[in-house]
Amino acid sequence: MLGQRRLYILPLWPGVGLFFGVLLMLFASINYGMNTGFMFSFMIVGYGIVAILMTNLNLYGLRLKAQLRQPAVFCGDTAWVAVSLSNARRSRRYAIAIGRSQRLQMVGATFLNVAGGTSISTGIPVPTRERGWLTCPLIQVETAYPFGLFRVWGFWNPAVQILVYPKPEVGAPPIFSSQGAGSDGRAIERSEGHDLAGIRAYRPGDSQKHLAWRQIARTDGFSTGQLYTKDHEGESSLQLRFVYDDLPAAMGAEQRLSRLTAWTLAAHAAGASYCVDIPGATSAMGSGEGHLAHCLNILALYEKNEGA
Amino acid sequence: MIFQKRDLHLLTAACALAFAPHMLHLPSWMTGCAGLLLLWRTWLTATSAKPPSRTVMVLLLVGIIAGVVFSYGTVTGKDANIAVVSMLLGLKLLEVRQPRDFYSSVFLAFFLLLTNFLYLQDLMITFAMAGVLVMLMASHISLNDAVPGPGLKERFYVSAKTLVLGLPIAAVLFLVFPRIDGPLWGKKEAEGRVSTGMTSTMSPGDMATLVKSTETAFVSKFSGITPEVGSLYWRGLTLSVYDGKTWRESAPNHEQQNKRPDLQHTGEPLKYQVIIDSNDGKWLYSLDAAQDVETDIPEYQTNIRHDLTLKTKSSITTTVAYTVTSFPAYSLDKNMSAADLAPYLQLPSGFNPRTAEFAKQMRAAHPKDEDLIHAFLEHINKNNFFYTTDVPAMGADVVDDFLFEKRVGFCEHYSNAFVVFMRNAGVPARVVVGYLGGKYNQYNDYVTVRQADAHAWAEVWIAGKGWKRFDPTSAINPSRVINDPGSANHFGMNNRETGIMAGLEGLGLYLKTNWHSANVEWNRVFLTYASNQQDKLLKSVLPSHMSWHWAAAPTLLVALALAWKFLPKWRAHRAGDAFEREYLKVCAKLARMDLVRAQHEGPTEYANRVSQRLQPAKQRSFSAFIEVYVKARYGRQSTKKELALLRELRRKI
Repeated sequence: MLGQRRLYILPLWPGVGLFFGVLLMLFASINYGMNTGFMFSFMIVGYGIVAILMTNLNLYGLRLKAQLRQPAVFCGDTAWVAVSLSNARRSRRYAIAIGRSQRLQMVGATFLNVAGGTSISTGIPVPTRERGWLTCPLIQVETAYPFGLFRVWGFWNPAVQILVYPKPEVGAPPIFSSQGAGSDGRAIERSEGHDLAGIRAYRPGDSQKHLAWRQIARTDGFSTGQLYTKDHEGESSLQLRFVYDDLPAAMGAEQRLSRLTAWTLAAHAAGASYCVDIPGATSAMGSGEGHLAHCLNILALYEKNEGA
Repeated sequence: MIFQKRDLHLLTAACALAFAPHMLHLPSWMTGCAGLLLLWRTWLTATSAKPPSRTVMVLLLVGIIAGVVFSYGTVTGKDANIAVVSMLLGLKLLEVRQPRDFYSSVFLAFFLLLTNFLYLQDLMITFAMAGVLVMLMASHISLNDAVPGPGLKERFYVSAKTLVLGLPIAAVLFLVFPRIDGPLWGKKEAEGRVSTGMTSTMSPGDMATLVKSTETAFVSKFSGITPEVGSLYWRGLTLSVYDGKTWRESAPNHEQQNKRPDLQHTGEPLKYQVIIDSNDGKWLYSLDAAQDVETDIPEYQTNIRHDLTLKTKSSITTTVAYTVTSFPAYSLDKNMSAADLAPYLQLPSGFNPRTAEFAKQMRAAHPKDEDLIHAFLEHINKNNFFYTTDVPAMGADVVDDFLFEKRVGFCEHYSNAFVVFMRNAGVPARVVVGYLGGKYNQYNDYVTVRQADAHAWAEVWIAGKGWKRFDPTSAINPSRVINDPGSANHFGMNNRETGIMAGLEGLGLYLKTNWHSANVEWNRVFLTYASNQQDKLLKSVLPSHMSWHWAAAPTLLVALALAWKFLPKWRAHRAGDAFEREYLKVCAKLARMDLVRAQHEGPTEYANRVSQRLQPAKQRSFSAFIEVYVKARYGRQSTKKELALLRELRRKI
């Protein structure tokens, strides 16, 4: 919520212009002893003062809430912070600019009107330059509505953190290479997973590729609805181990993490079972979305001590 | 963030309205020029065409300045300045490209609005200009809205609301803003309007244009019951020097001039306030016999002369309100010596021989002064004398020509003839000019006196009674009054407005009179507000024995009270800051040990993460520090003791 103490106000150049204009008008009124002129000049002074109030009220009491659009991004990509502006007042708030604050200047401003009693959401792009936890930058909200004589602004530090994964290396060596494993960080373990262990009843989630067609046909499974699945030892055919310490000595830490990230993504895409092994944190062998997130998490936070 | 067509159209329309009243005094080529510029702007806006180039603008500017010099002979001075400002607005409007130009035009238009008050200051123009102000405000709201911005109606609403909310501020500033008398630059120029008031001399035929004018001369308000308006003879000047053509006041160095009137009065006084517009005269109007006059403005300090005229120190160049006490039942100059009366018998030789002959005959027939007067008035009434403001030119012997040949004329001719006749008959007499009657408005109790009520009558000195008023014009038979709406008062016709008449006519009259009342109040309260009233007002709200500069004292007291209330809070805030500073110092110290606090970390989180990495002794101090700090900062124990403890712990880390 934008309270009085967090709002700042300064005149814009039309405000300064108006000030000198009023001075001129007062001089003319004094010179010609015009009472109507005095009144008129002071009406314009009143207009200027009320304009401060009106501009301030356009922001005052606006509630801001931030949330992440996606849980994590890869370094170099843009993280989008969704900010919702809610207006508890009945009247509409016009022309509110919101954006990142950079040396008190707004970057990437979006202009919004917030209707009375509603809230509106907008995305604020946050560039990522480093892996690890990224604190959402300072957000600036400002307005010059209605008269453009004054600019009122406030800052807001949303309690939102963005996890930034290492940037996946472009052109990383393929995970299945003809070269022998072990020398460059990949330890490929042929799994026994191809050996048939038996046939069991179908469970939701079993791959269609593994259906035991012969068994199903024999028991007329299509009419009874009873399906069978060929049970394999292990979920995947391959087990990959990506080891940080085994990567070539010439590579720096970030390069290594970048390559490991690329491999992790490739392994996930291939449906392989894999794990990452970096000093201080090693994941278990596994696959699936959850496992991917876990592995990337480990890679992102390598030697980053702060954490949420 | 950029204006749309409709905003430019709105601005153009507002500028046209701000300019409109200036058409009354600007040369017609300039009105045409402004019209063309505004049309050009409208066309540019409508077709989204580009504004003219710099060269064209400079040429236009040079042309216009040349035109102003040609028309006024100069670019300085009030009228020329306003001409320049209005033309500059037209040019600026033409080259509006960016919001910057838009604002410049709006502010120029504000100034042009203000200059309208140099010429007109009445209620109507003030309301109209406030309306234009709202338009101008509404036009630049659009520069600041996101798309889609508020509709036109809402913009007007916001603008009007802003203006109304600002009115109290404006009113207070208006009342307390120090008024400086006199111009800051240049010399005091005469008011812009042509003064149509009465002149300080009278020769028959002078008032002909005046009595046709419907302009208001002044308004008055009586405390108590308003007398019958037909009986209100507003004395302006008493004229006693005659050169055969023109009546003047006696020379200013005349020793009698500054004498107080020799006045005896009986009965109840009349007390009334008069508000009169600037007229460049050096006198005020009053009912006979004025005893006392008060005004707030020192320049208009008024003396009551021996002949009951009210003379001001300087010419009336602003609206003035003054209060008079008069005694309608009076006798003036009962005891006059022959020498005192001599000036009122003076006549130029060689003029009006027939009148002199006629006077001699009448005098012989009527030895008593009163009889003679009545005989003359009867002569007017019985013979074929007409009242009309369309008077044919008279010969050199004006009175002879009027009395024996033309027999048509109005108040000036009748009073002139009467006084000349009386002096010829050896009776001291003089001419009085002023106004007769007025229009009574029962809604606000004001009597409005118009220029059309201008009148001239006579005074005759009668032994043992002093100066007595006679109005020869009223002796004319009413059937011989020709087409003269302004003369109704002079013949005792009913001039009292009677309630709200049925039908539209009545409603129209009602609105008109009420509008008139509002304007009168506006004049009375608003336009006459000057430094003296300001002083008076400020004095009235303060105890009488102290100067208003003492207002500073209560202001100071309020400031102290506020300080008393808020200072502890501020100090507590500062104290809170002290804790914060200690914490930040610790953080900085740890940061030097490569234990940087993350921006999102609270003190406890930070301590949990970091403390294992410290040496055991330091670790204990740090944990203690954080514990004390958290309690002090977020709890209620923020005393000096805690702060000292924190300092000590910090040093140990």
